[in-house]
Amino acid sequence: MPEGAGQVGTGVEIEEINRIKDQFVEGQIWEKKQSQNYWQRRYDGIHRVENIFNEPTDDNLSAAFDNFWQSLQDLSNNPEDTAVRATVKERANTLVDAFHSIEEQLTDYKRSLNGDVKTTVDEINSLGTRISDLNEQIAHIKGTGKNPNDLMDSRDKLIEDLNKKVNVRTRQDDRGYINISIGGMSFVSGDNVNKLKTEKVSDAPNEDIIKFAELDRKADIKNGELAGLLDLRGVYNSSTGQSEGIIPDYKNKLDDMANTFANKFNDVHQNGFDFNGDSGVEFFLSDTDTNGDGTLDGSDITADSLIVNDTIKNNVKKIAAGSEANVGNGENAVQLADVIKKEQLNFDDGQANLMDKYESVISSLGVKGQRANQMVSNQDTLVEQLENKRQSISGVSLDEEMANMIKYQQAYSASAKLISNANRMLDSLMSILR
Amino acid sequence: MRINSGVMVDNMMRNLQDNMKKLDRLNQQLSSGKKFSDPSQNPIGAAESMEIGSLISSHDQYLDNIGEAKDWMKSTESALKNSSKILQRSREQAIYGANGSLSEDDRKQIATEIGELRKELINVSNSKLGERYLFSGQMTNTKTFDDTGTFQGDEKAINREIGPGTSMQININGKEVFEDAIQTLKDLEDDLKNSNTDQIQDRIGELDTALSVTTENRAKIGAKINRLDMTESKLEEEKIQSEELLSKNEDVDIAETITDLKMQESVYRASLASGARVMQPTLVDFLQ
Repeated sequence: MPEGAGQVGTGVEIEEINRIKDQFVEGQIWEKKQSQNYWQRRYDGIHRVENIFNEPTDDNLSAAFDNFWQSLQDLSNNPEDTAVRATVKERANTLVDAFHSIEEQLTDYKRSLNGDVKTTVDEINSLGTRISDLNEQIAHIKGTGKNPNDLMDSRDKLIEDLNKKVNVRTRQDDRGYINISIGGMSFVSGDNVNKLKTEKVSDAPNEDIIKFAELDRKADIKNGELAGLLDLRGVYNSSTGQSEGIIPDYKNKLDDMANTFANKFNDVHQNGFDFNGDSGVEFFLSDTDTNGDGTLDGSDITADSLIVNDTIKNNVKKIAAGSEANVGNGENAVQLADVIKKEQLNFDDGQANLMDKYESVISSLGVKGQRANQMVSNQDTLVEQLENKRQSISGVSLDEEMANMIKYQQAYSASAKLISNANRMLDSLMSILR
Repeated sequence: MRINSGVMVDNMMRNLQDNMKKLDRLNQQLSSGKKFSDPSQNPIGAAESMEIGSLISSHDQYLDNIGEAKDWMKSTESALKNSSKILQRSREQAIYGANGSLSEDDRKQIATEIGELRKELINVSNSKLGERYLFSGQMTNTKTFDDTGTFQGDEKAINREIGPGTSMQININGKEVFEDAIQTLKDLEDDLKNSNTDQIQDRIGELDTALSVTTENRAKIGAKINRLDMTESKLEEEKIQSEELLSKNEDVDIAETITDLKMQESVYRASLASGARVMQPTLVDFLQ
């Protein structure tokens, strides 16, 4: 119905159409939508990371470690056999591939999340612009003393959408403007928008930061889908020089595993003797100077840069199976196998056995996912209850409306009856006088 | 709370969605046979599965190692058995050769046989498993004794891991078992050729020593094979237990899950049916 509608029915003038709405419930729904979308995004992301690690199935990093371990055990049984040595080399390559594959998928996913961050910022800006346009129209119409209900409904819908994206606070002023702030800084103020922008960080690829475009100040993103994206993708902390977030965290764990394992394995390998009785070479190398110190050594090994030494790739007799310079000695192969399943290795966060360490990495990921999923269902329940409440207040009940209609219809009939009776009485009276 | 058709529709849709999710979860479990497919569905269970999986593959490998160790030792045992036979035969011939009534020609004939027996003993000492010499210590690519009876290997142990942190020496010292025996046969052959009957008596004593060294080593190998058999059956038992544990940890109880599915299905049907009944009529339907 158009605002300030003219004549409806006969003989009735509509003075005002009011929105039946509880603004408090509305505000609560908005707030809950922020958390709901934050946790949903986070859960989706963790689930994706779980799929990348692909545990517990038969084709993943732990299977690659297991197979490598078995080939080393076989080598200890048959140190003289070049076919067994070739198997060790192939299994080592598979292990390296498994590290590379996880690392690449994490990097790809991070890149796509950074793209999502940009898109979400665009969407937020677009919502802000539309809200500010509506603010202007609403204030104008209110100025004429009318209620622009349709426009206010549209604006509420846009604000709800904005709440899904990011943590916002809303405040209505006397003129009918709804002013919006993000992290304490003004985003929509009346008919004006302070747009957000993304900016590349030179030290951290794919970790663009979000700023208020005009002020050139960092936006404080704490909730909503956008915060979920940032938590997953990682945010560069310039004071520590570290990226903080789920993907950087699991990339670090993977790098730590690759580095600690490869260096310990190299130590043991170099203590052993190869087929020809020469001391072992480094088994694993790094193909890039990842720490940028100008030299290529064990400290450069990451999940991405890990490779099998070409010397070993080209000549499997270089694998140091022996603890003594005798071809029949396979005892160093057992020591090498022990690096995988038995030795305590010095990881960044303390000593642990490699397999136990990896299990704890996977289960910590699982716990994070489980918690996010739990939070999603909690928030869903809360939003459900609030939406029910909203529906209960604003929703139309056909029964109610029909009952009311019948009530007024009957009242109308009754008054019509009254008029017709009065008419007849008058008729009778008149006929007497005739 | 004021209930209107909007509230009822919303509630019905949500409940239907919930029921569908539960149905889907049960369907996933039944079709995959696994209780969980992602760590987030059961973080502890997932870690447990990884741990047990790795344990089972270790068991498989140690069983392989034991198999290989047993092959080695059984070959060793049969070589030692042959060696005993050769020494036994040589001892019989030595006693015969020591007999004063024999002619020098007879002794020369015996000497020829001893020469052959010695060659055979060298052959036995060079026994191989595949391409590997059993008695050359860690120099498994090197022939143990050359034709002159010189030991060319080393006396080092070959150790194999037969369980987590448990290893066992699988070879025996070739020099200790064969060197003196080969030398004794050489001496015996010479003594028989030269009819040095006194020295032949000494050789018999030396052969007795060689025989007892061989027997001792056979007993040692036999005992080790027994120990391997025991370790093997223990590992097999543990493997079965681990497999049961893994199955308990991650495999779906089919009967239970099908029952759950049936139950969930009736709940789903009921919510559909009640939704369809409740949504339809309003007061409008009853007003003429």
